[in-house]
Amino acid sequence: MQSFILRQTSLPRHVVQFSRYLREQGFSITSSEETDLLQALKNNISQSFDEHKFLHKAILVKKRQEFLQFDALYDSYWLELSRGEDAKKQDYQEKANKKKKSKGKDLQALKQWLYSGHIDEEKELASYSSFEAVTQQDFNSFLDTEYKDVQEVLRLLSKRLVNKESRRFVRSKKKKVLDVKNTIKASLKNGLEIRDFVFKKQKKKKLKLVLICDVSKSMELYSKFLIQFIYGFQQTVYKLNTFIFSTKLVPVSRILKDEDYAKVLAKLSEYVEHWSGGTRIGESLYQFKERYSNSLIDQDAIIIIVSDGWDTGETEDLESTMRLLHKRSNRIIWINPLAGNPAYRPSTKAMQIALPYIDVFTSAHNIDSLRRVVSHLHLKKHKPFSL
Amino acid sequence: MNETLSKASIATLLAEQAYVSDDAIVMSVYLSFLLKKPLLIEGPAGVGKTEIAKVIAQILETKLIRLQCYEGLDASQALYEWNYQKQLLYLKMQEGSDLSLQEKEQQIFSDDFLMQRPLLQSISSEQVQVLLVDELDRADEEFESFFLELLSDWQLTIPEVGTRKAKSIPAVVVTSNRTRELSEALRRRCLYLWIDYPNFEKELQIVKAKLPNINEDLAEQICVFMKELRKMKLEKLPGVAETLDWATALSAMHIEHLDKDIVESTLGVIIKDWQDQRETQLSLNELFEKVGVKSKIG
Repeated sequence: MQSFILRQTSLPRHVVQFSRYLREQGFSITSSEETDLLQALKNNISQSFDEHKFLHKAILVKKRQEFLQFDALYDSYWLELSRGEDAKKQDYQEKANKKKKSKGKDLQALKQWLYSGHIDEEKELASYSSFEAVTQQDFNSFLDTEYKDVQEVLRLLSKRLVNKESRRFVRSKKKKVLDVKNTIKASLKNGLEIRDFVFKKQKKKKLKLVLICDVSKSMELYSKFLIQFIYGFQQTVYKLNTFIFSTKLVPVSRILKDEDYAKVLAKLSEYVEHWSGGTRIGESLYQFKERYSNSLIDQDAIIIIVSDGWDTGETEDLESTMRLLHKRSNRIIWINPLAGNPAYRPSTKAMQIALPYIDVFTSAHNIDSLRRVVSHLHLKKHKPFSL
Repeated sequence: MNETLSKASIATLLAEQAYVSDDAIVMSVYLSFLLKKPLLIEGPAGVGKTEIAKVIAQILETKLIRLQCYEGLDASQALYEWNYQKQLLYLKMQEGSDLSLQEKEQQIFSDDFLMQRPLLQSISSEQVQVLLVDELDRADEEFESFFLELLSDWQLTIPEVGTRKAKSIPAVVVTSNRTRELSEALRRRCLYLWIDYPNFEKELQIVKAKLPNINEDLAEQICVFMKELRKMKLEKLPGVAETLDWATALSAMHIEHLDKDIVESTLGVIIKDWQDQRETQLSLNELFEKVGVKSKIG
């Protein structure tokens, strides 16, 4: 719960309160930063409001996103100080009520997306259920025995994907590549007498995975599989960043890391507004490129996109986005649930634009097809897909 | 580190070194002196991150030790390495001598045979040095870990000879282009500074500071052009380094105004990706309208 901001009269109290305020906004401030800030403030080096702000900023900020947010937060902190406690209480009450209302709405949206793609009875049942009737049990039914299979296949998939030879060497028992440096080093201890040869091999390194999953209306049919897929993947792979999108992109890795599946779904419903909305692949991938590609995508990153390719938005930026992601990443894998149908042709505009930049184009809409994907997946980069 | 420097004097010294700074930069540099903390600078390529370390070295009148990071960078390239050839030669020469094996070992694992790499160098001098760890995001997490060890205790352990404590704590500047996220542990040990592309006024100041003899109109046109260029959706946006290269080139050719031919023929100085070049060429007329040199459009 957010704490009230009070006017503090001592420096240490101000430091603690301001740090707490920033922590509530997601900043990662430890006691070390608080100590530094206090030390700097005691030196009395800031004379103007701006200098004071820059001093706080230089010490408390540790990331770009924090750097960009800081000025506004700093101003609003002082503004809130001047407002007083009563007004604050009222604000919080209003905000809390608003959040409560919207939470209900969002949960219903997720529920609708999860159920409406399944058999009619389920759909009907879902539509009659009031929000209050949505229990955790409804969601838990998605974690059935099949989920264990999903996890197993995902573990296999990640194992096949994530190994790459590093430029570092480690000692090897196999006598293939002689490690001259370490052989000499070992011999020095014996007065230059070489008693044993040392061998080396290239170290295996883990690749990063980025999962971008479409949760729009057209994907409803596969919603159960998709939720299991993204949840299972996040639980299985250590270096994975997951995003979901329909009309806009939302990072969900932190939410998916919770081991309680019901909690995960409840949180997902809170954070994502557009379950079952239209699809804006171009715009969502563009958002990904602009906000996350710099820090997440390099030659050690594999991008997995799960989408049927139906797009209701602008595709203007899709080509440049795909080109950049293709160039910067290790490879792009596109899993299209529709591609399993022999009659399917990737004829949508978005799919046509994206295809030249996809290294592996495959189908998976349930556990069996996912298992097939894993068994046929090659480690080397694929040529662009064409029909 | 020199803690007697005041904030105002740092601002002046930065200006004297032709480094156009702002309040955030001055405050961060000052606090890194005051708190004896490394300065972690992130930002797009070519905005002057590395330059700060060079300027700090000039301000402190000391040596700049640079460690350029890359994937696979390991202890032997960053900390120290024994000179094996020299050790072998020494042992060969001592083959007939009466020295015991233990004595020989003591000899060959002494400072005479130790090759100091940047991290060890930076803590081995009595005088404070500036250590620039450039593009740390390119190095892997293993390197980040042993770099952290140095930042924590300011000492390095060499198994053959023991622990070396820092004779003086260097002023450390770490830069990153954000091709990967650096660890939280590293961030916590540093002060953070984000440097973005400069606005028009600041970029103009930089150009004039670095090229005092440049034609005023040309400098302004270059800076407006670069500002507009950065609004385009290019794969690699040009940084200040590119602006300065371009301004230097045009100035050396005695160009006084931008025109389409000149821009087209020198586009390679500021844009290094062929697709970006093509897109820029297609948008040149539009760019020129924004720069305000309509009459020059060919």
